[in-house]
Amino acid sequence: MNRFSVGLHSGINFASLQGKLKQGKWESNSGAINGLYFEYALSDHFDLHTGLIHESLYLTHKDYSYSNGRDEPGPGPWHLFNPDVLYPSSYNSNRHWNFNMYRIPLQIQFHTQTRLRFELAAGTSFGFLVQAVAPHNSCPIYYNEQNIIRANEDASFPEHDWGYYYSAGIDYPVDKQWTIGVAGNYYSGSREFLEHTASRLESLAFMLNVEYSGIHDDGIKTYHSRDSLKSKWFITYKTGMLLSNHRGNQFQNSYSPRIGLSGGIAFYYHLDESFSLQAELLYQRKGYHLEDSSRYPYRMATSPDIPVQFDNDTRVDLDYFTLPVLLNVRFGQNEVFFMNGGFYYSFNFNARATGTQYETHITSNTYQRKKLRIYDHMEGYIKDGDWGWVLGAGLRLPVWGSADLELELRYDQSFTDNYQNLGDREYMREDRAFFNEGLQLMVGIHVPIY
Amino acid sequence: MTRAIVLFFLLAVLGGCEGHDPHVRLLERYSFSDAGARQRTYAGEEFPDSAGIQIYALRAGGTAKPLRVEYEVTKGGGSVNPRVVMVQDANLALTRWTGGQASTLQEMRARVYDSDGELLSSRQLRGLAFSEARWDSCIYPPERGMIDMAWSPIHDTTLLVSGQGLFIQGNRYFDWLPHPDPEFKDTRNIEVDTRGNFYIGDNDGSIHKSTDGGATWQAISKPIPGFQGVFDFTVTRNDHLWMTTYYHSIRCSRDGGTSWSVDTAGLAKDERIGDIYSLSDGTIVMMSLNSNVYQSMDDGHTWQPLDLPGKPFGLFVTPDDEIVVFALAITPGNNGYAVYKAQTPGGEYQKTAHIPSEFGARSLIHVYSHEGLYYVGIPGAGVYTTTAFEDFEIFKRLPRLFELFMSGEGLLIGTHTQHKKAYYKKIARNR
Repeated sequence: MNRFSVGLHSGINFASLQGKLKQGKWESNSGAINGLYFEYALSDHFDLHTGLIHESLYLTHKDYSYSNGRDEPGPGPWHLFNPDVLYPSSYNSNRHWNFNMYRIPLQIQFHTQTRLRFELAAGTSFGFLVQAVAPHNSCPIYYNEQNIIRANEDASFPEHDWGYYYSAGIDYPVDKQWTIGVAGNYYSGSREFLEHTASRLESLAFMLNVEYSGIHDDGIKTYHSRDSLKSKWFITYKTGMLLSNHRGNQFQNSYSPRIGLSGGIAFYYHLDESFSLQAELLYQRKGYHLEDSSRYPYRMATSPDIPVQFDNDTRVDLDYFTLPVLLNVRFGQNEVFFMNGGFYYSFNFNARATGTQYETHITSNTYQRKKLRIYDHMEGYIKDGDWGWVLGAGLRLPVWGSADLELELRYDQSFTDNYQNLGDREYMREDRAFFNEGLQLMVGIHVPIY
Repeated sequence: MTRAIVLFFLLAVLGGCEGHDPHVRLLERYSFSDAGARQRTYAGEEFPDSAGIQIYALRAGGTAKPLRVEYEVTKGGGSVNPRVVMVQDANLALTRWTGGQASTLQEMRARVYDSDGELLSSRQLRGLAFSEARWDSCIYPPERGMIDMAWSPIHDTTLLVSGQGLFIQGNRYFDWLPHPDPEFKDTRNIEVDTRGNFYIGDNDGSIHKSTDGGATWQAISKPIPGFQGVFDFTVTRNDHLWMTTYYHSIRCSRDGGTSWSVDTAGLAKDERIGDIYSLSDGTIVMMSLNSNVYQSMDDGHTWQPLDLPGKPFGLFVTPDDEIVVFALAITPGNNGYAVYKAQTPGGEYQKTAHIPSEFGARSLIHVYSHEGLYYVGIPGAGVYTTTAFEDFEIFKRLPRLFELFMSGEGLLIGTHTQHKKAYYKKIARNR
């Protein structure tokens, strides 16, 4: 058994923010991530994982750029008049941040004893800010690629950061001491980095790794056989489509379901010949489609207090990491069929509204129509957590050795509404009681692991 | 197989994370403003100029589409012709509007539709129609917000001072033309002497004089050197100029404003001029803003207090040198002014009348003589008429009346306690 392992990993990351984001697009530009890591085997299945990582995080915030069409054929013989536009006929207000950091992760890692080894790790990470480049404090306005409105460059950031660090990946041994693999890492920071959005750093990284385990080798190398008859532990790699909607709102007819993606892994522990405990880690994209006259592009709210009419056709994406815990029962010949039920807890890490909004502003002095291409991050409106119940059923068909093809149809529904308390005004209270609802059709590969 | 699933999963997560950028595009904008609004006319007559709306358009591409403007008279009983105006090549949609008899305020609604029939705007145009047969209400400057008015019989000119500056009466009694000199945007008082000279006191502590009926002006003096602010200012029949202000007691100019003397002997401390008159024999009688009444037998150099009945809130001297005092009378259920009359300043005062009023206002009771009748503006009561200050007749009850002004041609203009409007009445048409 190799107690110590050392490896190098390298890849790209996509930085983003977690916090009270409410407007505009936070674009995740790719940055480099490199480092080395050390693993110490605590047991056959668990390692202590640490290392040193350098990563560059790039963030861009794109607020609503503006154009009034002056560059197009004019309005005929009429006088051009644009009295209340302080800015030029078109501008953008993009802002860029760049953070260079060293991180020291400390994780407990679980891995299978299969040749193609699946790894799952969770822990914390401590970061040291090396360099930060910040934009101006207030929105700069660019016209013809020149910054025509700027403010001071006063910005300060914490020197240190820490947060939760999760990893998942697969490794494959190329000889007795060398292993290669791919991994995905998700970091969720706990320090507030951008004050104006009260937001914390997060990043999603994809890395290739090369690992050497010949430092201390006791000469015993074992891969456990995958005898499904004797196995108690199983894993399913699954993915599928998710039809989601929101229920319980005041203007239900304004919303319609939308299709998203769902996928992840499921662990099974067989309690007896019929029942097993099932725990999963899933990525789920939920959300809904809004098509109505609402002052907000992401939920229905009337606007009797302002002389503006809205016409929305938008889509709301809510990205969750979901942890269902279920009781699974197998039945039928060769245990082909199964049903499961239980509860889930979801962590929202991304929320945004995209689409089109037409805005018509009518007063006795003005008639104005605008077309807005909506792209708003809206994590500031959505609760971080969601929990509810799950009920599903499916079948498993043997396809390849001890691996089964798994098909499952599952329904889930949240217990609590998803929106934050936005305020007491009428249009803030309207239609705020949203409950997630989803129907998933998933396909997966079910294999024994121990 | 497993690798394919993981790869598919990763691509699916990354896919759709980006997309278009947030963007606002202005598709079209129309701005509407009034053209020819706030005009004035005689009731039943057409407004002098065409009225309508002005349209400015901005469209993202394409060509301008014709707009349809529909007009409808909604208040005042007037008429409009044409009712529908199409706008294509010009940005003005004008029509002719005739004022009605029903009210001073005339209103006309303009509705703007695009070529698809969609209502773009609905706005209201207003005008004023005056009639000598009624009391009119004027809701627009300069009458709304007027501060003072003076008439020169020699030049047959009436000048008006309002929060918007100095105005000269036009050919019609309700036309007021702003004085072109921007210096007079900040005026406060206007007075006229017996030779037809106008005097203006501004908010900067200076006095300006015009000898040509208000056409040209000269800054003649600053009665209190270094003082900047508003002041009380009046001219008596003997053409003496009088001024006071906070912490600066009475100053008098006996040479048309060239020089000033401080004449406070016999006066209580911090007395300011309320009402002041010169009598035929040279006696000067003055009511202060502290409700004290004084007389001066030496052209205003020294003063002797007079003991009058009640608490004087207004003082008037008739051309026959009769003294009329309006004293505040607080009587439960019948508050107002008691009117006293005497033949000389120090003589015996006889109570002649009681005029009920909503509130008391010191030195704001103004008396005007026109064609043998006195018109008395009582704050909080209205306009009364009298011939000898013994019997009063209500001419118009105006509980919100603050101050009353009159031009020599018999035009009464009263101000509102909250400056919401001006009361307008032409007594006789002399032109």
